[in-house]
Amino acid sequence: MRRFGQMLAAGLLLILMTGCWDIDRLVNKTIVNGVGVDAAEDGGMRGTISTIKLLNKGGGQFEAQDVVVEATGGSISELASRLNNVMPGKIEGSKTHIIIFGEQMAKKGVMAPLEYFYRNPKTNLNSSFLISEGQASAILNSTKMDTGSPIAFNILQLIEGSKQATISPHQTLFSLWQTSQEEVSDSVIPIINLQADGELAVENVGLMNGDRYSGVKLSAEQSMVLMLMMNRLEKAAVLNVGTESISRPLTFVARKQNNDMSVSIDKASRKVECKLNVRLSGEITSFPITKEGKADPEALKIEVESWLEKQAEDVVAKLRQANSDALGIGRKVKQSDFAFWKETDWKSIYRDVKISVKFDVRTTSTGALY
Amino acid sequence: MTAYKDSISKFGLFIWMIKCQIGIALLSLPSVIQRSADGDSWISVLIAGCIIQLLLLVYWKLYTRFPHLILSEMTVKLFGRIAGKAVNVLSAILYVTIAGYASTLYIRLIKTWLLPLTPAPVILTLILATVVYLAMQSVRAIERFLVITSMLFIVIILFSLMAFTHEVDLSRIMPVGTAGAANIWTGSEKTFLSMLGFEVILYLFARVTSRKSNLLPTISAANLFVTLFYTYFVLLCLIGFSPKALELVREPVLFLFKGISLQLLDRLDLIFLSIWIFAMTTVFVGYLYMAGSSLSGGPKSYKRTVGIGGAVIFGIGYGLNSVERIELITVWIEKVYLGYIIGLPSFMLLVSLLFKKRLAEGTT
Amino acid sequence: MKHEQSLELGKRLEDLQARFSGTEDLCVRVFRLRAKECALVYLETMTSPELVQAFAVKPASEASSSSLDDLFGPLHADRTADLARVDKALLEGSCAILEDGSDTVYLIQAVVAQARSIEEAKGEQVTRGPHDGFIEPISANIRLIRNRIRSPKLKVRYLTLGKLTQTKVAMLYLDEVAAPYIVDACERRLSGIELNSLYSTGEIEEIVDENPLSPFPQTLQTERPDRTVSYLMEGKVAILVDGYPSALILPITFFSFYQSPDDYNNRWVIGTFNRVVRMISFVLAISLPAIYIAIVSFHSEVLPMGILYSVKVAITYVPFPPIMEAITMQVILELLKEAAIRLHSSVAQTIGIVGGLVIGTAIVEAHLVSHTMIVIIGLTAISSFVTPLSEFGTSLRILGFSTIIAAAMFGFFGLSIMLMFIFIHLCKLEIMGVPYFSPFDPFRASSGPRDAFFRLPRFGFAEKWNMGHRRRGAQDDRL
Repeated sequence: MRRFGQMLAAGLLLILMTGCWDIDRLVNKTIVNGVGVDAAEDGGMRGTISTIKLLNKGGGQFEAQDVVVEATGGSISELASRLNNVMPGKIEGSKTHIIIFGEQMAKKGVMAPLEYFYRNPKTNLNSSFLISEGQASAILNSTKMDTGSPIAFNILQLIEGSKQATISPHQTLFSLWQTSQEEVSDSVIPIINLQADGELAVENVGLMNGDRYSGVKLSAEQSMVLMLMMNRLEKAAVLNVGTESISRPLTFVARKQNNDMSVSIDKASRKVECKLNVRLSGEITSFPITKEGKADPEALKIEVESWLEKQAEDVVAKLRQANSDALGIGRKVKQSDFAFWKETDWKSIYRDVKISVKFDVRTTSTGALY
Repeated sequence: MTAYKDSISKFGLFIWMIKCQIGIALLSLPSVIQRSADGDSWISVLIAGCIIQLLLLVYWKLYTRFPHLILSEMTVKLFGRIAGKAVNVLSAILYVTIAGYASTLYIRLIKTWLLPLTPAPVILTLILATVVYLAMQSVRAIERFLVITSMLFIVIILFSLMAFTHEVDLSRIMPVGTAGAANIWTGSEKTFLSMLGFEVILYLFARVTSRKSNLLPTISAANLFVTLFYTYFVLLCLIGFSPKALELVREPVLFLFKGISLQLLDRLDLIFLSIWIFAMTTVFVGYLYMAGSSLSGGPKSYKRTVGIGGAVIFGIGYGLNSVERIELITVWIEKVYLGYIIGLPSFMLLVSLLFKKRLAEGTT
Repeated sequence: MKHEQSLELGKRLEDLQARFSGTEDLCVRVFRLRAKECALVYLETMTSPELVQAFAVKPASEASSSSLDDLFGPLHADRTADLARVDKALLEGSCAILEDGSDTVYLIQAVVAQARSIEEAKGEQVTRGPHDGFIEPISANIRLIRNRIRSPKLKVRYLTLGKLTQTKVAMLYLDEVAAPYIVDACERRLSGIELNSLYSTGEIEEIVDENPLSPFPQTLQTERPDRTVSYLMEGKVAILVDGYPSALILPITFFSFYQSPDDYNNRWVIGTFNRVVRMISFVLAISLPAIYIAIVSFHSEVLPMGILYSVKVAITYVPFPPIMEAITMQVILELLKEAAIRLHSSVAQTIGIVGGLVIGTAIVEAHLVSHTMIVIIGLTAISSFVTPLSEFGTSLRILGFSTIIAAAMFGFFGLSIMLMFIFIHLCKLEIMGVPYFSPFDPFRASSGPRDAFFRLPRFGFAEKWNMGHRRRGAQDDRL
C-alpha cells in the first residue's frame, strides 16, 4: 500500500512537471492599445492597431513611441491573425483602450464585428468606443498630438474630457452591448474627427439606430443639450447662449439637474406622447454689463430657456431623422404599460412619437458681479 | 459518545451545509434561469429555497426518528442488513457520479477563463488531490477549514458591490410577475439543481455535539443564507445585464466583473474566480465525505474509501470530459440524483412512520 | 552496579579511579578520623575550593573526635551506598567522603557556581518589557520562572536524559491549569527517549515532534522568561535543558508564533494594530512572490496600464524566466542572512552594504534580475522577519518556495490550490490533541479570536482560570 502511494505520488509529480502549458509571458506580448476598423472597398475591413514601443533610457526611465500597423481581412479575427504575423511577439488585446470604427463601417452595423471582443474571455470590456468622421486609420496615424504619451492614451483623455464637459457619454464595449441588445433605447456614440490643423477633437455625438450608425451627427451645442435631456449632466455643462449677438453673449453653467419624463399611451390610435421636463440649476458666468444695466435674472432665465428649447427642437428632429430612441422613451413605455409594449414594434412607431421638451432654469448665482 | 475528533458544533453544521451548496452552478445560474423566467428569475430562486426548506423538514423528521445515526446506518436499521447495505452502495455510486459530473463543469470553467491549454487530467488531478487530502481528515479538521474559508464569502460580497459601478437598470426586473407562473416554476427546477448539496446534513446530524439538540433552526438558517445569497447574485445580474445579453452569456457573474477596472487592479473576474476556487472545491469534499461514510465502517477504511472515491471521480470526470454530447448523459444523471435525494429520505420516513419503526431513545 | 565490594578503602579508591578512567582531575585526599582511614574525593574542575574547604575539610579537620555519622548527618550530606549515585554526584560537583570499613559514602554539595550574568536574549528583543533572558544553568532558569509565578502550584519534574551526558531536564507546569493528558503525554515521550547525548531543547523538539513532515514547527523555543511564564499560565508545559538557555513550550498553536510580549505591555489599540500587521506579513511572506510570478507569467491583464508598462520595461532585458529570478534572489537572501549571523558584529555592517548596494543594485544593472523582482523579494523577506520567532519565519520562506513553484506552473489556479493545501494542513495539524489553528476551533470560538487575531482590551477578557480548566475538561475523553 505504501509502495503504491509512493508510486502514485511520483507519477503525479511527473505529470505536473512535464510542462506549464499556459505560460504567457509578459515579455513576449505586444500590447495593443488602440484599434481602428474601417470598411474596405471589397466589402471586408481594414484594421489599424497602435501599440507602443518602449525604449529604455536607463535608470528606470522609458520613452514610449507609437507604432501603427494596418492590415485587411474579412473579420476582426482574421485581422488579428494577420497583424499578429507582422508584430513581434504575440498581440494581446487585454489593454485596448479605444476602439474606433470608421463612419462607413459603423453604418454597416457594429455588433457583428465586435462579437470577437465579447466572446474572448481575455479582452477588455472597458475599452472606449468611438466613431470617427472619415477613416479611423487617419485618426490613429495622426502624429500631431503630444508625443510624450501614446496616441491611444491621448484619445482616451479627450473622451474623458468631453464626458466631463457633458458633451458626449463615455461608451464602453460593455455599455454598448447592453443597449444594443435591448429595444428600449439606442446608444449615443462620441465622434472623433481630425481637424484641418491636424488636431483631434471629440465634440459631437452620433446617433445609433439599433445596431447601425444612422449617419446623423449632432453639433456641439446639440450634443450637450441631448446629454442634458438624457439626464447625463456631469460636473458642469457650459451653455453659451446667444453668442450670435456678440453684444450680449450669455453663458450659463448648469450644475445640477433634475429630469422628469412621462409618457402617455393612447391605445386606440397607438400613439405615444412623451413629455420631458428638464430642470437645471446653475450660475451665470458671463454676461457683459452694458448701459442697459446689470443682469436681470428673470429675463436671462427666459433667454436661456428659449435657447435651450430651440436646440431641443432641433435635437428631436434629428432623433426622428435617425429613428434613434436615445432618450429611452421605450423603457418608460415598457415600464408603464407592459402589454402594449409587448405587442408593438417600437421601432416602427417611434417616428410618430410626439416629444415635447420643456426646460426650467434656475439661476443660483451670477458670480462676483451682479 | 462520539469522540472529540469526530464531532462538530452547530455552527460547523451551518457552515458545512452552506459550503456544500454554494458552488460552481452559481456563476452560470442567472443566464440559465433567464431563458425561462426572464425578469422574474429571482422569484424562481426564492421558490426553490422554499421547496428545499420542505425537504429539510423531511430530513430532520427522519433524523428525529433515528437519532445519533447517519444515513447509512439508518438504511441498515430500516431495511435490514442486506437491503440497507445495497442502498448504501447505490448512494455512494450516485454521490461519486454527481461529483464526476460537477468536476466536468469545473474543468470547463477553468479552461475557459484561466488555463485554456492545460490538459484536463492535470487540472482534475490538482483539484482531486486537494479534495481527497481534505476529505481524509477528521470531521473536526474539515470543519475548521470550512470555517476559515467561509470568511471568503464576506470578501465575495464586498467584491460584488463593485458591480454597481456599471449602469444598473432596475426597470429590467419590473414589472414584477410578467413571466407567468409556469415559467417561474421551470426556473425553480433549474435553480434547485444548482442548490444541491444540502443532503450532506444527513451524514452530519449525528456528529453534532451541542447542548441544545434542536438542529432545525440551524439548517433552516443555512438554507435561508444560501437562498438569499443566490437571490442576491441573480438580482445583480438581472439588473446589470439587458435580458437578451444575459441569455447569451455563459457565466454572467464573471462577465459582470470583467467590465470593471479599478486603480490597482483590472480583470476583477480573474481575482473573483481565484477566490471562488475555494468555494467550488469544498463542494466535492461534501460528496466524497458522504461516499466515504456510506461505505466504510471505521476511520481506517474511511481513508481508503475516500482515496478510491477520489480516483473514481477522476475516472468519471475524465470520461465525461471526453464525450462529445454530454447533455444526454447529464440530464439522466441529474434526474436520477434528484429522485434519489427527494425520494429516498421521504420513502424512509414514510416506511418508518407506517411501520412504526423507530429508534427508541437511548439505544444505538 | 552492586557487586560484592570490599570495604577496604584502598580497593574502593582504586575502583573509583578505574570507573573514572584514571582521569587526572579526580582528587583524592586520604585522612584519618578517629583512627579510621577516610578519603575525600572530588573532581577539582567541578568543585569550588572554598566550598570544599568550608563544608568538607573544615568540619572533618576540626571535630576529630566525633564520628563521620555525627559530622555529616542528614542535614549536611547525602548518604548512599550506591556506587552509580556516587559517580553521578561527583560529576555534578559534589565531594564524597569514603570511610574504610563502611559502605556508606557521604556526599556534600560543593559545586562551583559560575554562569553568565543574566542579559536579554539577542534574538527576541522587545521594545518595552523585561530585559532578562535564560542562561545556561537550569536552576538559574527555574529560579527566573519561580520569581514570576510565586505559587505553590508551579510544579517541577526532573528527568535525566542522555546516557553519556546525563543531562538534567526539567518539566514545568501549573498543576491545576495544565490538562492532565498533556502532562502525561509529555512525560511519556520524554521518558521514552533513549539517547547517548542531549545538549539542547532542539533535540527534544525533534523527538517529541508528532508531525516531522510538516513545515510548521509544533513547539516553540523561547529565551524569554516572561513569555514562558505566560504560556505556563495558559496551561502549557515548559521543558528546560541544563546547559541550554531556552525553554521548549508545548503544545503550541499557530497564533502563538505571532504574539509578542510587546502587545501586552502596551495599550490594546497598539497591540491590535501590531497583530494585524503581523497577520498581513504572514500572507505576504507566503504568497507575494507567487502572485507576482503568476501575474507576469500568466495573467498580465490584471495589472492596470500604468503598472503594466513599468513592469514590462523592467523585465524586458532580463533573460531568465521570473521563477528563476525569484529562486535566485531567495537563495542570495538566505546566503546573506547566514553570512550575517557568522560574522562578527562590526563586520556584519559591511554585509548590509555588500548585500544591499552591491548585489542588489548591480544585479539589476547587469540585467540579471529585474527591479520589480528585487522589490518583491525584499518585501517578502521583511515580512518573514516580522514574526517574533525566527524559526517560524524560516518555515514561511520555505513554504514560499512551494507557492512559487505552484504559481509558476499554473498561475492563479496553482496558487489557490497550493494555499488550500497549506490551510488544510494547518487545520489538520494537532499536537497532543490541541488543534494547531486553535482559535478557529468553533468550540472555543468565544475566547479565540479575541486574543489570537486582535489584542482586545483586558476588560473584554474573562480572566478565569477555572473556566479554562473546565473547557479543557471537555477533551478528557481523549485519554
